[in-house]
Amino acid sequence: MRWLIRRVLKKSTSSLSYEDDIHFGDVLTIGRASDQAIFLPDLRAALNHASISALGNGKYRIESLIVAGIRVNGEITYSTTVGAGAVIELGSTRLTLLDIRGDFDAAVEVSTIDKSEQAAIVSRRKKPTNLSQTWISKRWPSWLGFFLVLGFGLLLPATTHIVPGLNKILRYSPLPSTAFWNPGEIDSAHQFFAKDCTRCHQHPFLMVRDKACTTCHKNTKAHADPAKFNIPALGDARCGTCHQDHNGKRGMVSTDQRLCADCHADLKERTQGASAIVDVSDFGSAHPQFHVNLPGWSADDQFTPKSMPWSSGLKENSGLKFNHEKHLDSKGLNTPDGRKFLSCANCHEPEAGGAAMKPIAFEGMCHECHKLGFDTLAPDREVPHANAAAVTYTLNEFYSQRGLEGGYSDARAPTIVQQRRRPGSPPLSRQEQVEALAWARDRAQEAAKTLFTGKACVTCHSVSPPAAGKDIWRVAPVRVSGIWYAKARFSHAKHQTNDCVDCHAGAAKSEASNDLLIPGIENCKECHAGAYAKGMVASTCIACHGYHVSPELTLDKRSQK
Amino acid sequence: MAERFKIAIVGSGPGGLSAAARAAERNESHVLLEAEPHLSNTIFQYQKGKFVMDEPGILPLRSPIPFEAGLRETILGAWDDATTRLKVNVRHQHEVSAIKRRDDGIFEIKCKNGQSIEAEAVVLGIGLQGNLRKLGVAGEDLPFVQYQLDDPEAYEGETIVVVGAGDAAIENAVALAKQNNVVIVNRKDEFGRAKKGNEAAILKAIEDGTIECYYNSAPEKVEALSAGRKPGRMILNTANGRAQILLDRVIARLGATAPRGFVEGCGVVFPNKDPASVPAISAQYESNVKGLYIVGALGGYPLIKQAMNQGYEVVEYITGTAVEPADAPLLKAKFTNLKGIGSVDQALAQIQKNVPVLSHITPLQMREFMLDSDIRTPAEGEVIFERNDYTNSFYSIVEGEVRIAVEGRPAPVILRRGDFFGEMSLISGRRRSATVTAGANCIMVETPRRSMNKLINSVEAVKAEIDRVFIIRAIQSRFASEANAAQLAEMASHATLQRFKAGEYVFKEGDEGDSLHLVRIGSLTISRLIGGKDIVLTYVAAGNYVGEMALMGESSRSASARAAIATETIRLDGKAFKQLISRIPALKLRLQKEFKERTAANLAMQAMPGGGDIISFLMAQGAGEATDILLIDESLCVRCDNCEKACAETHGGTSRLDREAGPTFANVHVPTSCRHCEHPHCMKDCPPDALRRAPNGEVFITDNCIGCGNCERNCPYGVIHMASKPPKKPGLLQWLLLGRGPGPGEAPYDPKATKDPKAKKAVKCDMCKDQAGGAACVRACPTGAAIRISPEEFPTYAQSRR
Amino acid sequence: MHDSLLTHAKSRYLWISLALCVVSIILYVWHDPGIAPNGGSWLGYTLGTVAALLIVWLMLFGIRKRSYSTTIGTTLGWLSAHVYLGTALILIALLHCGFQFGWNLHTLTLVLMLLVIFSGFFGVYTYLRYPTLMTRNRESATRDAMLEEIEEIDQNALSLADGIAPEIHGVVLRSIENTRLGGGVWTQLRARDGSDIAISRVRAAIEKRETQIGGPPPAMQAGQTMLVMVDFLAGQADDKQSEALRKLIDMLSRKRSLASRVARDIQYQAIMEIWLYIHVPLSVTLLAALVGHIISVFFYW
Repeated sequence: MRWLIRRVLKKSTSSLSYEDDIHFGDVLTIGRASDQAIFLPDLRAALNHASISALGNGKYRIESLIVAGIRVNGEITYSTTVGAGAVIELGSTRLTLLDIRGDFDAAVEVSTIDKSEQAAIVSRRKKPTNLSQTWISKRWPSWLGFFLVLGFGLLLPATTHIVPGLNKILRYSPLPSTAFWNPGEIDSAHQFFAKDCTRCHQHPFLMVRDKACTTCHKNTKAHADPAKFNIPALGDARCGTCHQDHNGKRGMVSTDQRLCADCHADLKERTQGASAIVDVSDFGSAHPQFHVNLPGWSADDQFTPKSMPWSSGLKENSGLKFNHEKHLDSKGLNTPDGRKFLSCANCHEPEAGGAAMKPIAFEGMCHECHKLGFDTLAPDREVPHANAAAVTYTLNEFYSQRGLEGGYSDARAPTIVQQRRRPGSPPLSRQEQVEALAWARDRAQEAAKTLFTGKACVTCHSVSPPAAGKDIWRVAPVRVSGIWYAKARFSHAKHQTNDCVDCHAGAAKSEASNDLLIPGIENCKECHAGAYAKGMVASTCIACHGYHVSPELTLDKRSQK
Repeated sequence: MAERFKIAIVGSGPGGLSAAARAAERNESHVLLEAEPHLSNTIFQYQKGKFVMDEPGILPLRSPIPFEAGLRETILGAWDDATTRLKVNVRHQHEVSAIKRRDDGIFEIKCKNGQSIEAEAVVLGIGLQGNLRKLGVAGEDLPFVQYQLDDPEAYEGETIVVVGAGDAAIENAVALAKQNNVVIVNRKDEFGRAKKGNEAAILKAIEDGTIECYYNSAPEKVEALSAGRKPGRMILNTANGRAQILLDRVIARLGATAPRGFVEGCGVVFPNKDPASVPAISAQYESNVKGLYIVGALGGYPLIKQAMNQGYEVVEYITGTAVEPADAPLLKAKFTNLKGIGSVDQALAQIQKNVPVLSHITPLQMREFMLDSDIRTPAEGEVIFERNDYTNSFYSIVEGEVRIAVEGRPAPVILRRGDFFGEMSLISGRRRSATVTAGANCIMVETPRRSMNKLINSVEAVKAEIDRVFIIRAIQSRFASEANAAQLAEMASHATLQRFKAGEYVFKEGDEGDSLHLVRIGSLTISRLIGGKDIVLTYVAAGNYVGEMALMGESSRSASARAAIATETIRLDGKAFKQLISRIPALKLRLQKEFKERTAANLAMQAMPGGGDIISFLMAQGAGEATDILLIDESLCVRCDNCEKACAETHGGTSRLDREAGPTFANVHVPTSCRHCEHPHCMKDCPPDALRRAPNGEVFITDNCIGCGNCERNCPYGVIHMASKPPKKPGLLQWLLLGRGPGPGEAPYDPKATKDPKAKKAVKCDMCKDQAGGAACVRACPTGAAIRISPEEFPTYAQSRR
Repeated sequence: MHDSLLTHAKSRYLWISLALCVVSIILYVWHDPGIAPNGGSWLGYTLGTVAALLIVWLMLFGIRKRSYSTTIGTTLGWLSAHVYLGTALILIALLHCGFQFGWNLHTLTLVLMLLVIFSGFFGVYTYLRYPTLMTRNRESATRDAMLEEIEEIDQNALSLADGIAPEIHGVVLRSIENTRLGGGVWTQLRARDGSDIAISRVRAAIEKRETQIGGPPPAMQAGQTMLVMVDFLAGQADDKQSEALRKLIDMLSRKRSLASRVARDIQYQAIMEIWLYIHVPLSVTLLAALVGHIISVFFYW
């Protein structure tokens, strides 16, 4: 087999020259031993390092004869079959296998790798010794992270604000929707539209407008009419100022007393006197005496309760005569059906809801003892209560009947009235009738007089005789103011653990019904104090007062402007 | 009968060439003798494509041949053209072997090639480089035999024989071996002549077999071959018979013959043995030998333009035409602020008359001296320099007076006309020891360090005078506060200058304490033998004194004083000193106080020997001559190389600092960076005087650097290298965000760099003197590992490191 | 003289950040928004602003570190502040959110921030620990010097091996081919090399031979090269060869120790750098999250 061995000789930087010689033999041995076909005087080659055998049609088989192997096309191998053009590097020598040319069976080109190129190769083979040379980087991960978070965390949810349908789609996809922006759980009342941020957050970068709230809360009353009270704070006050959502299911009413005190501490100056409300900043330390509603009547007898600061010994006038002491007598009272002991609850029953007390009713409470009978011969007959006209009518009607049918065994009555009619006796003569009815009238008037002025009405009511030419007695109207403290919310229900006298101490001793038995602020302060109370019930304004109290103005109206 | 010329010019360097050209222009009979086959060998041997500068820019060129800054090739080309154009009579291959002046005033010039020439006047323009030694065997001039090497990269795959055992030969051989087969031929059996580093390198290379070496061998002949792969062969005489080497190239580095011997052979005398000294020549460049003129580097003018001007002028002088030297206008300009003085020459004469120390120097030296110097007329009370400034120029008072405020002296010292000052810093290379303010109508000459040193080296008298004054003042500044003039004078009379090599003992522990040493140049370490180990106690910088302890208390030395670097001290005789202090109780008290303090400090150091080790380690790194050195605490250094990046970024892309290189001891690492030596080696030989010392002590390189590379060679710490200015870098954010352009510290890619080489200039650490915040390397260190400290702080530093 | 980033300027920034923490805690305790503390209260906004500014400032360190000519403090000072204020950020951010967490962008931001800060802690740890180890490991040689020595040893080993026998030459050749220092991220981080076992094996084997009990060599493993030689020792080596062989073995053990030192050096370097590959990208991501957090909060205000 004829091998062409072409040596490339490098003259200087540029010029090359070739030198061919021929080798006979079927394998081409490579090594440092002098008997090798290709003799490499290089320590990096073994004595007989490798052998190449031509397989014909331009294929070669390269076998390494030592454990170190041989580097073919840059890879260490022990034996491999390659085509022409394969490159073997061994120390400072490069063998390039060539196509078969001329009348040779195989051809190989031997060239030297000069020192600088060897160095280059070595440095190319060097593994990185420094992280900055490896694949990891700081830059692209940074960009990746940056855009991922920005894209999915901000831009995608933000687009849902522009593309309406998108949010729905996102919610049913693993991708983050605007829910990803939700900073905290939404109040239970709002849960059923919690998924749609735009219900409340209508305009981006604007705080939630009241409009958003009043779409539902339209009838909620406003606080005060900013038109009347020029307080900037009042105008600025948004629903959101007191009602912050995203703070969990439990309600969203801010009971912070500063919310009120901020304005009410110096309301007069703020409104330049437009407001008459007394300045208040803390129940414990800076709250004025309560203003109590006392019953009163205008000139034309209209009931017009008047509010005035509470003070001990303040008298009220409800038009009723009543002696608490007598009724609450510890030895009890004699009643038609035996001895009875009364307590507050006998007359003062809480109304449904238990906030206030039912009005006192004569029928249920007084009538049991205070009967309205007027004739001893007919002890069961009574006059109706609380209607003077009806009383007169009843009496007239009763006595006329008695006079005409007779048999009324009263010595002072005319005989015609006393004698009993037998069956078949002739009807009364005209003249007899006149006599009987005249008696009846006198009797009725007498009875009325005794009722009103004597035994019945006058005990509880102030009574005045009929006007001239009239026969109906006049009874002054009776009325308690009902809600004593109109501006505050007091609930007996919340105070059930107390006894009545704890607050209404005077009751047991009160003999006159015009004693004011409603307690003042001191009484409350025994237990309640302001927001920062220590060792007492900390009560902020919201505990008794409401915010949405404007008599006429509702929120939606207000938020119109 | 030898042919005769009016002017014979030896050496075709800038000086000689310009002289010859001028002569030719004037049709004077002349000959230009050049040893080489080409003109101006020194420049010819510059690296290919080297950019040659034309400093000093202010100096006008006057010469028939053109010269301006440019590439070596263009300049040489222009000169060749000019020579042919002017029909200069050049004789190549004429190496002059001897010049003799006959009694009849005619010079006989003998050449190596046997030729002999007569001339009425001779101009020596042979420069300082001398002639390269050749192989001295047959075939020494074959084309493939060369005597220098521009660029080792240029050759690859060749067989190259390097002849020589010097540093040049070794450096070439090692460089070439990267991509050639190199054989080195050494006449001896070792490389003793070479620097340690080079010797190690070559021996290793031979060990590894990358370089083949023939010891005890000498070339017998070199032949060109017509047949075979190699163009030539060399026959060697080796210890065991002859050998033949087939080769592509021979590079012979056999050193050069220094010109001094030859020049002295011509009868020219040098002022002293100092190799830096130059022969004294007149204002007409005439040496002590009548009719023998010296121009260029040999005369002490290393710059091309100077030499050319001189060449022109010298011909004018020889032919008897008076010509004002080219530098005259410059000098005139200097005297403008000096009223009432006529011509330049009168002014110079006046100054020499007024200032005795300058009176000894030749008019030409005076011109040169004034050219570098400045005339200053400060207003009364103006501060000339502050105490602790780092300036080191030298002042001579021409008129009026100055006041020197000396430490611990109420009244200022007054110096008057004829006195000089500033010599202390000039000599010790340290900060100013006192503040000097101008007195009434004061006129003085300020001379930069370099030209003053040049003067001191070349004029013995000047040196003597300055040394004398230095000693007196040194003593004054130490003891003046107590002693009076007479006593001081007496002390001075007993004072002698002493030199110590690095590591030499000034005195040893236990010696008889017979003297006191004021450190004048350099620095000392004080050490004590503890447990058989020399423990360094402290470091004494120039300007301080040692050895007084023995004179005060016990009579024998309590510790050894060693020169940390080459050091000069003023030795004060012990007896005289003892008398002095016995006579002056005040002085005694003061010295005793200082004595106590020192003892305390020493004990403190003794308590922690480790610290001492650190000092001695630093000293071993040559920190002894430093004024400011960069130290890295390797227990803090996270190897982020931010210091190097900072350096590169603040200095146009090239770092002047190599963090990793350099030794480490007890976690203290001394990286390769400038220490701003007291006597900077780099300043030694800078043709354009581009190396300067800023008032704060930074040694820096000004823009007029000509890139000759002397400083690079002279720096023993390898902290200077040559670099060309890289182009502008894109903004940081571009890289930070997009990875565009070079990162911090990476030099920006310069496409032009390969095509036209820009001027390469020397770069070195300038301690960021132009940076507002100070040294960038220190400011950029994120972990506080890098600090810069001065030797005075070493003891404190050492203690902080326990 | 030298002061570390923790003790810089008498730990000035430690005190500053402590003060910052104390102030914010006091405010947090004193402040009661009427409802659960949250980012929406004025304190929440204040702390949030402070935290956001801090984050941006902390990230500016990357730029400050590389702007070498600026005079705003020293890099050391900045790093010191970077570390301490970064730590304080944990508290401030937690107080800002009023300990309200959820599966949302806002908590994501917080988590990212914590990750960044803790990766930073690791960095501080490495900066304090590894430099010393590195210096010790290098024995005041540079890495390049060690690498060069290795190459040199390779050369010498080859020529020595050549003098002994072809097969030895072969194995040495292979061992050279197989020597690889450095590599991928993991290789750099775990500087492992079985050299020690191998060498001890070899030593043992040699002693065996000397006591004339030419036992079979241990199974082929990490130190293959060695074992082959021992084989050879056990076999036909004459004294001169075995002498050379010992030298060779010493050489190779030297090389191995060098190699392991270089590997360790690379490892230390890598550890001191790797955390930055987490710290930096995460902080940039954090920046995005922060922007998202702020914008989204005000988008739906």
